[in-house]
Amino acid sequence: MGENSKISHVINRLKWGEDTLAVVIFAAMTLLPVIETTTRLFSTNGIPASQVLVQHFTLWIGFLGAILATRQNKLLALTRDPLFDEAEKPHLGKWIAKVTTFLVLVALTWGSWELLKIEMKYPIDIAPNIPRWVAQLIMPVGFGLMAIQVYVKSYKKHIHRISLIVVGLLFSLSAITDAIFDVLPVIWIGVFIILFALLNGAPIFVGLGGAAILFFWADYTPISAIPTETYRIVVSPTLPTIPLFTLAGYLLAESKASERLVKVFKELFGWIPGGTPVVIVILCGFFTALTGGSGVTILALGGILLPLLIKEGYSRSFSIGLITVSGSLGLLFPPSLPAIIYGVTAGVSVKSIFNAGLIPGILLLVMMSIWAIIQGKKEKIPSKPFNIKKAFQVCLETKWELAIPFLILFGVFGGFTTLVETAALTVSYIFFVEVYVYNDIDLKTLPRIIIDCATLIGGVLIILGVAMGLTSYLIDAQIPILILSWAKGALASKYSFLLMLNIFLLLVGCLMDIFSAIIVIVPLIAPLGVYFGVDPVHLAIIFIANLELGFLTPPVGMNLFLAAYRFDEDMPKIYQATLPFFLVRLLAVGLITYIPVLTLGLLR
Amino acid sequence: KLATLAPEGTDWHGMLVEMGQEWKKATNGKVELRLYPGGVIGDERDMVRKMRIGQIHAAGMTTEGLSEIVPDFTAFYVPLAYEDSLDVNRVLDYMLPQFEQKLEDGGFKLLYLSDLGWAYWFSTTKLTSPIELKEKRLFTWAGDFKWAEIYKKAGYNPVTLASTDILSGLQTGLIDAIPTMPIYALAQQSFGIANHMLDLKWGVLLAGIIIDKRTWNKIPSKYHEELVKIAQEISRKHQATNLLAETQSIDAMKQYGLQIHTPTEREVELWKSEVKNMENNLRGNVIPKDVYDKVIELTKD
Ligand code: NA
Ligand code: NA
Repeated sequence: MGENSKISHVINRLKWGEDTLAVVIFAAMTLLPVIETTTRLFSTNGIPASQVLVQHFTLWIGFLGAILATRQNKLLALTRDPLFDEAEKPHLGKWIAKVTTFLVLVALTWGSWELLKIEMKYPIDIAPNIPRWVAQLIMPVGFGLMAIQVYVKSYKKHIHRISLIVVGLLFSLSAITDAIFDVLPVIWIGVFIILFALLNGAPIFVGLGGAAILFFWADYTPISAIPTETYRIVVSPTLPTIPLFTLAGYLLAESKASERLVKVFKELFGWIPGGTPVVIVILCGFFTALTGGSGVTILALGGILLPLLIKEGYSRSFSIGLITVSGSLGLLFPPSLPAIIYGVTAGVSVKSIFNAGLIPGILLLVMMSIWAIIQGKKEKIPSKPFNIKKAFQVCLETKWELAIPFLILFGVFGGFTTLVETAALTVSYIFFVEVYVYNDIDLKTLPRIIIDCATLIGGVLIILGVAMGLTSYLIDAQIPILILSWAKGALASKYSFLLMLNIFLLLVGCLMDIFSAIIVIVPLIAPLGVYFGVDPVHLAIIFIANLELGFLTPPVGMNLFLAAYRFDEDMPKIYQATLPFFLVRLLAVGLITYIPVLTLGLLR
Repeated sequence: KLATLAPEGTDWHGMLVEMGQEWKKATNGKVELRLYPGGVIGDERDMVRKMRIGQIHAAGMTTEGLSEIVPDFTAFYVPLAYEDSLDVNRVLDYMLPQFEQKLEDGGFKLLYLSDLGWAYWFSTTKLTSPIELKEKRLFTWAGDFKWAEIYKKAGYNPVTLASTDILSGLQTGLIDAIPTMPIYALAQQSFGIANHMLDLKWGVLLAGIIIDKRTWNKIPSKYHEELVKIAQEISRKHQATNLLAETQSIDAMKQYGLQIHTPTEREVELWKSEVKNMENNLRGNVIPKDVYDKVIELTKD
């Protein structure tokens, strides 16, 4: 008993440490770019290496978040049931999922440790007196703590847990593994086991990481190749925008902004026949854009919007479909996370992507609105008259939040701030407005909000980082060149390439989450785009618009999960509700793909 | 496995392809070069890291990446020190043995090293004197904190950005001046906005090929000499085209509206005294003291 309470004491301390560190790092991440902007405007000296520090904070927040997500069983997976529930009895499928997760984490810990040893041998400072290995320390520590969490939470009984270690030991004996390699098609068996583990609830990053480990291993390449890529992508200069904009979205979602915005848009657009659905389309697009497409729209707005629609006489199925689909509408507007990730992966300017996405984004909103109006007419819902006085009044009341998109647009296109600085300023502004102007957020709840946010970011960044490892293998094996030479022969023109791309991305959207899809697929497709003369920025918009559908494509569409969770419905019901909207969106994607001037018009 | 930032279709890439073929011939197919062009492996720092962990085995890289392994390569970072190829060669001749030795200590074999081209200031409005540059916002690379600090201390307004954001940064006015090579300005189309070039050799970029020593030692030593000879011969052949490429790029950009400004003698002196002012922050900070002093001594006419 004494032993156990000692352990739980240590674990509590650790939890406290992780939480506090996450809050402190987030504060620093927000403040440093704000200071940087201010010092530039007044031409004074700022904090040395501020930007590089912020980039490395992203790495820390990513890993801390991943640890938090592991602790809370919130790592993104294909199944809804949490895998690590301290099960009483072993179940074969889940046992395999648990063993696979544990092994992948142990391997990644080891790989990051190998990388760290090399960095310690050849130290380079990333900032005054801070060697790079110090910043990278979080990688082996993070993967290690995740492995420990997974181990502790796997089973209630010691005897069951030990089985994980036994399998791990077997794998580490190279004599055995080499012998197995000689007699069995290990790659195929390995891939099969990984897929099986995924279906039984292993986190998505385990699938990607497991595949990367397996392929590199078979190729005699050190596993440290994976954490090397994780480091590379997560500390890239634009990536700090992801935690920052997500935090901005979380702060908005926690405040009463959604209620105020519903009022505003109802007054402004409620007079349109079938007005409420239009309101929802615009509102969700607006909110999704503000929150960067982190999936919080459905969670934050779903509860308010569904009763609203039903009260007006719309069917439940239509209402759920509309809200679910609208939750991914703003992804072409700044500060969309997929657009940022695309830019980072493909080496395309994120600002150009935002610029190019404006018209297609609006087109999507308009097409969805028209569909909603048609549906509204069919269900014979009355509209309400426009009252200019009331409209003005609610706008005035909500002015601080209505200003946010203008702040972001000004930041992105105004030429005074970098994207990261824009994100930090947005966070600071929303923080100030919600805490001090509207008094919606109590400072005491702030740490909880930040930790929730870090948990989500951790879940996303760990997928990104590990997916990059798999991509690295594909590039290493020169797969993009093979695909290119195949396509040169098989595809006759730019249009057959685009058609193939549309179909391919739909399939990818069904199978992968949008983040890993971008990381893994973009390097394969980008050379094809160049070869067939598709503008890289146009390709970006096609990609994102196409994968947006992936958010809604069964079985892995993230928004479908969120909707099922929020509205407490079964997945098939959600599939059915979203189908008509899905088809409208498909048409829009077609327009965006085959009429390039929609995207490139604003760039010239 | 050899990685480089040079994209497919460029002269540099062509040179590496040729080298691979010659190597294969010279070793009867025992050495086969697999190329990863266009930075698909990452930037030059990533290449260094990946060579160290053993994922790739060689790289064609500039002094930017080489200085990550051996800080002495920052010898070529001294602004305005090099006025022509003779200056570069003088420093190169003197320092090559120590470069090779220190790379060797760091686990790499240097196959060859030579100049790639000159960096000039490109800006959105006319720029001929340092006073004008101080009114501009100049690009510094986000990966390296030291340069931003040096410019700040010298009274400039550096903005650190990812290389991919240079073009959009110029478009929105976040930055309005960049030091870059004409072939890059043309390839990245940044000259469309930064259409003023100051005809003053601000810096020089060298490039070379290094190979991981563990890999090198696996190649039978009877081939070593031949392989180095091939690399050097091919690179010498291409060096002339490098210089030609610069002139061709400038001519092409001129046709699309690039304006070239030649600084007056007085302005050149002003630039030189600016660099002199930066010396305290460069010498011993970015560039080792002895290296800095040697460069100044060797390039003094
Ligand atoms: Na999906
Ligand atoms: Na320079």
